[in-house]
Amino acid sequence: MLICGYNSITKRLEGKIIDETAEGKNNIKADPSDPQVLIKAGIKKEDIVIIAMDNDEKNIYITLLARELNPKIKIAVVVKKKESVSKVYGAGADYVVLESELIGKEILRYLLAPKVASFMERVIVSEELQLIGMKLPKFYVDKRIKDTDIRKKIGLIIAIKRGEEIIRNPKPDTVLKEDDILIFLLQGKEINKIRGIMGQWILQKS
Amino acid sequence: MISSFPLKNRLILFILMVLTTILLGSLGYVLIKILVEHESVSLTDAIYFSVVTISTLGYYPSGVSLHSEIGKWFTIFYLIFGLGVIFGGIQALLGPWIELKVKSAVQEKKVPVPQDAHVIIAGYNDVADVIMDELEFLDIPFVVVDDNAPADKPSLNGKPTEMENLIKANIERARALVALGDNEMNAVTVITARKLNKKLNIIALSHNEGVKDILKKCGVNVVVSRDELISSILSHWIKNDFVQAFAGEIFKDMVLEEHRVDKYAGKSIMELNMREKKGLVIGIYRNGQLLVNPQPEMVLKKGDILLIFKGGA
Repeated sequence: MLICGYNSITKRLEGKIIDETAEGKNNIKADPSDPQVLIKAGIKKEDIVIIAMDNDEKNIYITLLARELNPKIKIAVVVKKKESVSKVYGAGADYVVLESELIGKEILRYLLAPKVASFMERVIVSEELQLIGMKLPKFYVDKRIKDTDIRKKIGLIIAIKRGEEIIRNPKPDTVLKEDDILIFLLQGKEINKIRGIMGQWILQKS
Repeated sequence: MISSFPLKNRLILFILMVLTTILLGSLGYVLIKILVEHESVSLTDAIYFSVVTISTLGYYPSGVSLHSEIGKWFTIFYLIFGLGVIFGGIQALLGPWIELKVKSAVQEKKVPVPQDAHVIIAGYNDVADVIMDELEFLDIPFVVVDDNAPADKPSLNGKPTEMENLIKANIERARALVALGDNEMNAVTVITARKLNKKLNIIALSHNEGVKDILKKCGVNVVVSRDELISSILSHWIKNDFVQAFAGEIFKDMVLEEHRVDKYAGKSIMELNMREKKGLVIGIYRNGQLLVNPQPEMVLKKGDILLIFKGGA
């Protein structure tokens, strides 16, 4: 993974950082807005690049370069200005984070619904709680949720992924189908317990 | 006249000067009429003369005007003096009055600082904009305290680190304060705010990890760490895990809500039919602990806070 921009956000991620101010063995001390630097860093062979420079003009420009040099690469960009969001998407980014919006929404959650906020913090930041996907075991196919022991054994099904569709908050009389992916919200210690029982069905994503 | 002299005072001064001028004119008229022209005089005639002269009306009915040499000279000088007073006075009044009118027309009316249960936003920037939009939408009162506070929102110009400004923002009665400045400013703002209101819910933004503990020590209730938040969102995207793939869709539109249990205490989730009435109970906060995946038979206690997942199928 390549990272453009050396700052307090990117230092927390694991990847090869390219920036004029970059330090460290694996990192490259050069300007990432130079296509030669990106090519040398191996952008053509990478599958992910994170772009988080200090100004949005550079972010947009590097997005354009990265997309040009590697049409298949996945690009995530962190921008500061609201108007940059559509520009960066236009330049070919796959995922754009608008700093002020993300932070503002988080603060609002703490302000308006503090319990929900600390819950979300556990899921997203500290990962104390995890969203786990599980393929539907054969013996549950064509049964209604309330007729199974899923809730007792594992927990609440908070969503079902059926093909491309996501059924949020499924009703107890929803009939489970083959190839459904059930999504649970579990605490760290429970996950291991459940891995023991249902291990072969849990989807490993990494 | 001093230009900073308030308009009201100017008006009073002007009236006093006009009265004095009329009085002086009347006195001169009486003296000249009696001592020089040896005629009888009435108070009405004296005041009539003064007013007609300084107003430059200049028409005197027979018997009122001064006809002696000295009298005529007196009339001339009195007229000039009176003109000076009237026009000088009007000019001194009109200038500031027009200025005031123009100012009030250009400057929008200042939105007042909320009195009670409001949110104080310390520091004005992009994040503040996001927060203000939402608070405005939800009709929650707020005030921005910053050197460059926007004029069209409830705001106070000045540093939120200073006690005086926070007092002006009615901090004693505020419900929460969000500190959005840089690390230094936030720390000082929080210390100041905590001194003024012990119960205030304070949320502060930290720009890097090390500051988190310092802010906590200053009295912050919740620290939102910018780097931590953004980097964790990015790493979920990198891992392409279920949080990234689903959190967006599942948690979109804030479908997670919190409900305090009061009247429902003593009953189970199943008994209450929470699912039909409110939504899926995915967690319960009890004595500060989060219990995930509660069983339907679980009995609720007073003080429990339910996390309810709304919407969906």
